[in-house]
Amino acid sequence: MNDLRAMTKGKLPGSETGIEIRHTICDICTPGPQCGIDAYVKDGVVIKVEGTPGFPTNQGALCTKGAANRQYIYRPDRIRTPLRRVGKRGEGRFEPISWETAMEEIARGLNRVKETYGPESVAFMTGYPKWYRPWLQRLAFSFGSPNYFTESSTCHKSETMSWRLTYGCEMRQDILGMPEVLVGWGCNPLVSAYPMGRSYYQYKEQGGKVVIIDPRRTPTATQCTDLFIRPRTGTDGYLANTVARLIIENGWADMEFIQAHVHGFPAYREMVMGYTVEKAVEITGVPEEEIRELARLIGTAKKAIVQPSNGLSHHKNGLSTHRAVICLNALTGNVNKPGTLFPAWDTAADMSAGFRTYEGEFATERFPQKARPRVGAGRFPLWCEMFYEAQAMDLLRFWKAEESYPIRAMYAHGVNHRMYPESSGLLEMAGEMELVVAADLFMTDFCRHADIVLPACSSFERGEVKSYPGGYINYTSPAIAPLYESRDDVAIITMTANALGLDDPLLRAGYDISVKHIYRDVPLDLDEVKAAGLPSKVECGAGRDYFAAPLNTPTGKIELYSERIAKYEADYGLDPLPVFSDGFDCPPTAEFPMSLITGGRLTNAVHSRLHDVPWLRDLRPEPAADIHPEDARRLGIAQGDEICLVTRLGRIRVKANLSAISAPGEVNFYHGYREANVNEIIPKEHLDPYSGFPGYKQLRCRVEKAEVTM
Amino acid sequence: MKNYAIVGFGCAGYHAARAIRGADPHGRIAVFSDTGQPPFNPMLTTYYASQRLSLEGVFPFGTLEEVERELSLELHGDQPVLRVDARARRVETQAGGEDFDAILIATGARALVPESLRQGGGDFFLMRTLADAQGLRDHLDSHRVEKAVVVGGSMVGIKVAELLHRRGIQTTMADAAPYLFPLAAYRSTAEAIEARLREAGLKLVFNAQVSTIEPGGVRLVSGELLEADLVCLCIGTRANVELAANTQVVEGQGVRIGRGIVVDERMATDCPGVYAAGDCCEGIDLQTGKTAIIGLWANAGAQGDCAGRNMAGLPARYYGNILHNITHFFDMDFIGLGDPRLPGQRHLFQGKNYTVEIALEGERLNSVNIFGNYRISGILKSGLTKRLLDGGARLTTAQQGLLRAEGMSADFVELIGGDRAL
Amino acid sequence: MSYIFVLDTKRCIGCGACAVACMDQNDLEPRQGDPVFRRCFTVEKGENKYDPVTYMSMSCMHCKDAPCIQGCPSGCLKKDPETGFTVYDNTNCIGCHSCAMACPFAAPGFGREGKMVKCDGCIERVRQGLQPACVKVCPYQALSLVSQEEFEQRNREKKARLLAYTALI
Repeated sequence: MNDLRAMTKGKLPGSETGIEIRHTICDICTPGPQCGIDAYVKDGVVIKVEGTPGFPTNQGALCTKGAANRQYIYRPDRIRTPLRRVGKRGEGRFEPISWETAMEEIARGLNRVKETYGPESVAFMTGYPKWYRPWLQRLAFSFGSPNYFTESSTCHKSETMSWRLTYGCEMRQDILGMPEVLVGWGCNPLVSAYPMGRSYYQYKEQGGKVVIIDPRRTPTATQCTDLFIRPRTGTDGYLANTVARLIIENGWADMEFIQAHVHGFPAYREMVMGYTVEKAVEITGVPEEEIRELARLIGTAKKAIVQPSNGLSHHKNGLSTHRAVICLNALTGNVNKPGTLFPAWDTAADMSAGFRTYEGEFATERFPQKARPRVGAGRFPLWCEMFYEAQAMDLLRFWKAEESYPIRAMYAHGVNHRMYPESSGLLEMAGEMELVVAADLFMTDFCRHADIVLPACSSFERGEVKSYPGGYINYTSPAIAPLYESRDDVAIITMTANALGLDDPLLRAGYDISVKHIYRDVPLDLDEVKAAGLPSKVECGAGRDYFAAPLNTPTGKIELYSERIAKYEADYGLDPLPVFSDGFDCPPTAEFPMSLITGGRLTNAVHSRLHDVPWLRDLRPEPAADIHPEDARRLGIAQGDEICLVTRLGRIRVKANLSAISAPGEVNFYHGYREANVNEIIPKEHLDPYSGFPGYKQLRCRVEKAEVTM
Repeated sequence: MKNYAIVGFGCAGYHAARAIRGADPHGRIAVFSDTGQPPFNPMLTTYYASQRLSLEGVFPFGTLEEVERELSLELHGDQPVLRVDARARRVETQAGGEDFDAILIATGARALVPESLRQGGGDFFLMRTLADAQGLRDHLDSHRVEKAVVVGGSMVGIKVAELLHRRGIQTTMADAAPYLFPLAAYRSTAEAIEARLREAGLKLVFNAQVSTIEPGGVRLVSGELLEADLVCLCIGTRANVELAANTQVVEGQGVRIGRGIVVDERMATDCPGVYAAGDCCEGIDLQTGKTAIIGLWANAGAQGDCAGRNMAGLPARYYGNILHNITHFFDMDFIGLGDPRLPGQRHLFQGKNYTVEIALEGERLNSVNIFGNYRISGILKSGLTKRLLDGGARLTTAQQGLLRAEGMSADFVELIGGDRAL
Repeated sequence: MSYIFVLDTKRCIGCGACAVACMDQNDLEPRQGDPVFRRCFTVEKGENKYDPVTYMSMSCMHCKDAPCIQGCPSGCLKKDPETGFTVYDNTNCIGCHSCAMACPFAAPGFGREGKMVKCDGCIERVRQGLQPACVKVCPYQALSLVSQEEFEQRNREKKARLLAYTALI
């Protein structure tokens, strides 16, 4: 092989090979790390991807999903042109139309619904990705509808609520400030958030001590753990409150800190004194010595971090459990000093970069105050008080409920019906709409139920502003031209705003203008940031001290007893203290003797979006449930057997993976599979009354060996 | 400066020359070969005959000039060696005799042709040398052949049958054995392969003792005539031991010869300074501890390498090998590891596109048959060999994981020397 | 300079990023019949909470005495003197799978044309001072490519958990 051929085959960038490196970002698991990507481009086509060296989040590496960007963006089922439905809803028959025609029909349809039923009757919805959310939210509000639904109704916002209710804002963990002990409660960052996973390894290598508390034996639990505590799923709240009692009883609580900064300690103390180690052993299944060791580690460390996870909040008792866990930090005074918790002031797109933007103002300033109440308002008042969003988990009930006003149209970007418990309900609802608009990269099942389908493009095909921890701001340029006739989501939203004739010049002006408006206080010229091609540093200063002003809670203090929740105690039965309650969907029966845990992350997937990317799917080709070998023996199940997971709603058929990932009695399965959508068998009423979040991780179930049909 | 002689220049001879040159940059290496061609791989004949490989492709180490230059050899290409005088370490050709410090006999093997088969007066092809391959190739290009018989269900035989079959020739394979590959395959595996071959359209005749080859075809002992316009004889090889047989260790006592020239772990014959390697010799069969011919390309290379090092004074050992074979034919793979005739409890494992059968004697793995799934064969071969060399050897965690990744079950991995895993 | 691939099994979680980066680098489409060069897997030995679990990523180990080289009847494989990688030119590959039988790590695979393909250590990248794709992508730096000298140094210092292979057979 001659040199040039070898170099071309080796994909070496340079003028000889004609391969150019262009910087972009990965938008697969938004909005977390948003890792920097070096796209190797030849003749306008991406031929390889790599992590951008020195990028604030990924430092040149990529995760499994990010490494597959090339196959992701070139998936053959990318939507190529705007489409109009010609067959029945769900049938998938469409005809190509022009963008102009699409926009005319969308505007006519949405305005007709608005005139007939009121603007609230249009639901503005989004799933992944998240980058365009402020624009979509503003579009909804400018249109006059408060019914803006996001996938955050099931993702992270319950955690946000818990932090804000307790600490006034979200708190970040200063792991590399080297606490004596780091308790990752339900945390599996090695799989779910690898930049944080790297911090775990770094912390370990510098001599840190890691405790992982998780019902599942995750890679994090096996690879960087000094103590692995394995409670039964959904019993973490009892464990946390018991630990709190032991800390108080042993005199390890930081009374000075509590005096100065904490509200509701007496009530909290009284509550946790009702939790006993004996009962904790019985409920959680954790041995007594491990419970006492955990309390000692947190209680006696000079500095400790108890880091909660999203997963804790994905239970019917989720918000209280999450609160019970994070209360331990305040109880031990592990707040606002190096190696503990610091406030995470939001910059933009759920990132805390150390400087301020006007993203929140941009997204919500047009909120229609006079509109009829949002979906979820009557049922999840705490949610609606805290966010300018409808609670999507109330949508299917609302749609059928007698007292509701009608929802007649859906305007959706990246919506995935499989996020919803009893998922097919959303498709059924879509089937009865007067107009469904769906923008997406791929022809999803939801898109097949739409009237107008719009082709969106990937992060490689657009420019985007992002901020990053450490005070970085980045403005990408397209690495390649948009594929086919696709356009970026904000361009689509802008076109829609213009077609609708909304009285919102800023929104109608498009991305570049509005993003400059949002970042107007940042002392950098965005055009220069864009020209630089790589993240630029923003001088941030030291930032505001957490305790410099009263906290953003009703009492201005850290609230172990939440005054905000107390408002709803009488009418909604919400408890201002983080009490433990049973989180199952029904009482135990012989019919459903096991616990089903869902929603965990795989390295090769994020929700449903990567199961159709061959490189990733082939790493783990079959939807497989992790079942402990002891249960497998009892049920006569061998590795790879077809099994059924059965809840009181129904069954799905999957493969058995015999693994100690699951504890005996518990079965773990992953969500988002088209052929085995576990959310279909999760009851839509199995919701946390505080947040509205589904109890994805704790259901009664049964495992059966499937009958083999030839 | 040391003087080395290498008699015969195939795989073993080449590797010996390379090993000597690696250890002794200045020594004189005289290579005696009467083929006039660079080291050739007999395994490639069928690929050349079927035009899947070019002429250059059958010489894996390059042209004679390239090899000569690479290793600074002194080639004696036109002089058959008449005799090796062991005591004098002398190689005699028609041109005269010359003394050496060390001599390697690497004369290879030739196709076996029982004289009796010639009695019928029919022509037949062999498939061992480049000339054999060229002959068949030319014949097929210039003659219309409708029916062919391949005598011998050997690894070569099956490939000849394949190439004939692929040319649209109605092909029969006949063998005296009761089933295919009897030295490598269990009957069960053989029968599974036979079924697939028959499905592909190949005619197979077993227990077919050949009497003679006649102009009209192959006459069996039973009297039956397998009609053919072309016959190819692939019933095995015989080691070229004559040169060694002429060699006397001491007056009246020859170099020990069984089916091949017997060598020890250093590839030394029992005549000091005289070594043998490759298809002409009997090295150690790890499973029996006895010497045996293991006529395999890689084995010849390893033996030649070991012989070369010892000739140059390095303390190298070749601890032997196991019977092993891989044959890729009709888009199938058959792999036999270890001697299938050794006793053992059989365990069968089947997957979507493969079957793996093993014979376990107590905890000892004696043999393996793989049909399909070539990719796991190296792990099994290395595991089997390692356990023979060190009874306590286990498969590494990596190997165990790779076997699982290739679809093998936890039970299988445990049985062949892995740990109990989920 | 001779190189060795090293896997730190304490830092590996078997995530498959290396396997994907390898397919991206080498344009491998397993569904179109390409073999994979690198595989990731988990070995769980035992079913109790603290029983050992090993996560691994395996590809060609570029063995010092690579048995595939001798195993190949067509002389397709050789050692690259510069990098120590086991490299190949499959022009004369006959698809006999002998290299697979010689390899203790199931590295050689056969592509759509029936010819042997495998990891070449991203030799072109390494020659330019770049890391192999699998090493570059690894989120936890579990995989690394180290020089022979560095490897020996690390071994002398007994830095734990290092894993590298040279084929025994």
